[in-house]
Amino acid sequence: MTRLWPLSGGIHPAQNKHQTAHKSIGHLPLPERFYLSLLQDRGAQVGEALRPIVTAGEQVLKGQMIATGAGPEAVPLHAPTSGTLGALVQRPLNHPSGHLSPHLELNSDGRDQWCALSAQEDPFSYSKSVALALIQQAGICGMGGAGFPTARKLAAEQPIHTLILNGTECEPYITADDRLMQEAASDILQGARLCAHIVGARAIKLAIEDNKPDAIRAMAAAIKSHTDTAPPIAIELAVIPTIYPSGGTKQLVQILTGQQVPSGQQAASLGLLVINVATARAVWRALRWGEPLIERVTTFAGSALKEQGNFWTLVGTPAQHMLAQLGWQSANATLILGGPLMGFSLSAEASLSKTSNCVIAPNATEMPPAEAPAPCIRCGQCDSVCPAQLLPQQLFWYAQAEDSSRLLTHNLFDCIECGACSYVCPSHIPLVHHYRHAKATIRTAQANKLKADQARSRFEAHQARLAQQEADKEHKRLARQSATEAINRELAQAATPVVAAPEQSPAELAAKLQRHAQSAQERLERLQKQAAEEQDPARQEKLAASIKQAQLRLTEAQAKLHELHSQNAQTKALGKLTASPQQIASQAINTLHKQLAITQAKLAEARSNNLPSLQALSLAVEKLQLKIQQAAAEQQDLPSTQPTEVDPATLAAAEQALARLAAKKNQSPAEKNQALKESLEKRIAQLQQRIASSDADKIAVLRESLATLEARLNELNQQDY
Amino acid sequence: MGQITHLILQSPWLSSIVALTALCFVCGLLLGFAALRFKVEGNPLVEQIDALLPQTQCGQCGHPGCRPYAQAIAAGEAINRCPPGGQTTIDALAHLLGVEPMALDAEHGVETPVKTVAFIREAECIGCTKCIQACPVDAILGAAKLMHTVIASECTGCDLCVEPCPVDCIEMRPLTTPVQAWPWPKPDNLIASDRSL
Repeated sequence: MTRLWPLSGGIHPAQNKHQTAHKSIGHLPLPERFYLSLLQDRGAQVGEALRPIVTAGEQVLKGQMIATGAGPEAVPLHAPTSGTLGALVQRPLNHPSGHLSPHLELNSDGRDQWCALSAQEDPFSYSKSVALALIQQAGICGMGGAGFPTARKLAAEQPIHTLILNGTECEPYITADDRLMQEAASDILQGARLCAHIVGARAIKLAIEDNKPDAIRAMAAAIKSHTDTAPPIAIELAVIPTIYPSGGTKQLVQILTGQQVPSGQQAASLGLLVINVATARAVWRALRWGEPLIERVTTFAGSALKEQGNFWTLVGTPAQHMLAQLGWQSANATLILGGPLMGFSLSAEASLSKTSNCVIAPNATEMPPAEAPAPCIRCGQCDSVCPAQLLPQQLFWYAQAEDSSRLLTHNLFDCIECGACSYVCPSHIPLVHHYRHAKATIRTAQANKLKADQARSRFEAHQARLAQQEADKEHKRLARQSATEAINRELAQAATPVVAAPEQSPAELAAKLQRHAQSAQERLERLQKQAAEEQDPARQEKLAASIKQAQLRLTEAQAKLHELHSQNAQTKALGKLTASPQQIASQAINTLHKQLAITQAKLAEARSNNLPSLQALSLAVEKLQLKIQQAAAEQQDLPSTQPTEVDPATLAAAEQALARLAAKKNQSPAEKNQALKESLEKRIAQLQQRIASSDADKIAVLRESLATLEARLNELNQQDY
Repeated sequence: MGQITHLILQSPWLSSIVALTALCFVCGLLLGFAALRFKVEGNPLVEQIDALLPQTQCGQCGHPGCRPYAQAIAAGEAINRCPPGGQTTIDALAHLLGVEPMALDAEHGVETPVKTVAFIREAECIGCTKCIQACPVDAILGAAKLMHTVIASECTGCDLCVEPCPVDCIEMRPLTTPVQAWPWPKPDNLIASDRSL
């Protein structure tokens, strides 16, 4: 006998299962139109919307995937029968809100033709990832009521040691799982073994409430027949006492293991996994036969129905269609989807889905309208029946006061909304309704807070970005400003040349210009020669052009040379003016030395040729030597090397001389010649005077000079004509 | 010295005065140390006020965003200038600051019951980027001469983008609650004894 632990709290409402439990699962005719909700079915919650993968007017076969979603939580939708797809239509959702939402319309062609399915002889040979992918592709979700994606549940990260197969079905009226266990025990057991194999669980615990003796018998037989089937997994049948809500995951874990699932965590944190019997069967059908989840067993109960019982219901069948077949007196509009304790009212137009385990159509005496609530008398009955061990009356007060923080500290979100507290409340207070509203309010507030925080951080990021841009702009502006300043400074420096061009001495420059002039002269001569020899007129023209160029170059070089000479004269004049007496003296001595050298050379020449000027020259040499001695003596007497103050008169004279030089420079060649002639004539006149007055020994030298001067004058005169 | 100690010890008045002075001195030191060691950075009041404001960043209060208004409230400005927050925010602020709740200042706008979200009629958008610059939370996506669009999940519904649009292609649309966020309606609070009245 399996050891069981008591459930804290719980109630024993009237079972009302006898109306349907003894009838085998029936089939009803296919509806003409199916409406499949694109919103994923999560029981009382709604999941994300699926995306249709078919277009309106397309022919589909039974079992063909028609809508899917992204991510591991997506549970694809398959065509429940063969037919033609219509457009998307807005239909009421099988949800407490009864909101209109998009549904895919499928017009049945009545043939109910399956698409090709791939069966697998040994589904245990699938690897875990393949098996999980197949389970997801088959669109399997928890069929006990919450609709959690099974593939996601089986992919639990925590190690699982025991799989709990939930066959409790604790709510009144519902017998769908009871009937399924009686009629498909083997499939359920194989499915559970497969799930245990996938998650690596070593044991399976099958929990069935003791009010289902037929199901217990059927399952026990199935367990016996599968004891030797590979892979070996220990299966234990736990018959648990009938108490509501033993079928809740956390409650079942407590009954079977005595452990409590920690607040905010799942059973997987204890190494346990709870799956419903119908889900186990769906997993087996999907992996063994390739069948997607398109139908389930739904209990149709309630006194408003002529015929009550369990029926195979295709996903997307409008509730109206099934109820009409069962003789529903629609005058009484009350319909409940799910059990009487946790279910919610349903619109007859809404479609049934993978989690629709029961539809109750009660009459007025069976489920009278709820009595008006009376004030809470603090009796504490709700407290004693709460299976989650919460304080329902305190939660009620805080919910009324909308005191979110107190509700949270009293663990409102651990409430499983089983409705036990409302059931026992002597004041008929709809406690669960208050909790659901409080939960929704808190969720909305949390979502708003999240959005506000997001908006705040985005606003702050926006502000920071603007500030950064402003700072960058300012930085760039400053950089530009400093760059401009730097450029201006550089320009100012460039105006006063930093590095002087390497100065060429006047002698070097003169030599260079001389070279230029010479090469130009040579080129000109060569070209003229070529032109004289050339016969071809075209070539001659070219040569003539080249000659012109060469001539230009030559005149240019000569002009430069001339300019340099006049500049040299200027510098010399200036140098004389600014030179210190010392320098003047040494320059004078130098000049005297040069003159001496020239005169000595002339003397030597005269000696060797025995010229008449010999005597005069030797005299001149003596005089020059004397002058040099005097000059040297004077230089030694000079006090310092300080440059002398140039007196204004000298400066004026110098400036006049410079002006004369400049004027000379600007003279035309004719004028120059004229000036030269005049000076020559002057010098000739002076010489003639000196010849007339001097003694005989000097006359020879003077005559010689006179001859030279006259020769130059003649030359000039000839140039003029 | 010994005589003074003796005098103090003998006189209950003197000894108590000396003891209390010493105690005050020690406590003062401790408090002074704590004030420096556990100094709270920033103005926590501004943070608390900012947390209560709806973060719409709409500027209807006359401040360029919720945080500046929070700073202004902390500095003594009226708490009834936030139309997006409405009476709920005013009440929360009054509770926090310990002042009397007041009605929303109509000068700054009226409370709208339905939240809105900006919507750009994309066919009409000319890509001028003016709305992008106006958005305080960078919830508009686009580039110059290219179509813009609103990231609806980031839009606070402040409608600051509507006015700068040169072609009036932005409209504020009511935000529809998805079924996923459907709130269970508030139960009827009437009780049987109330009904009989």
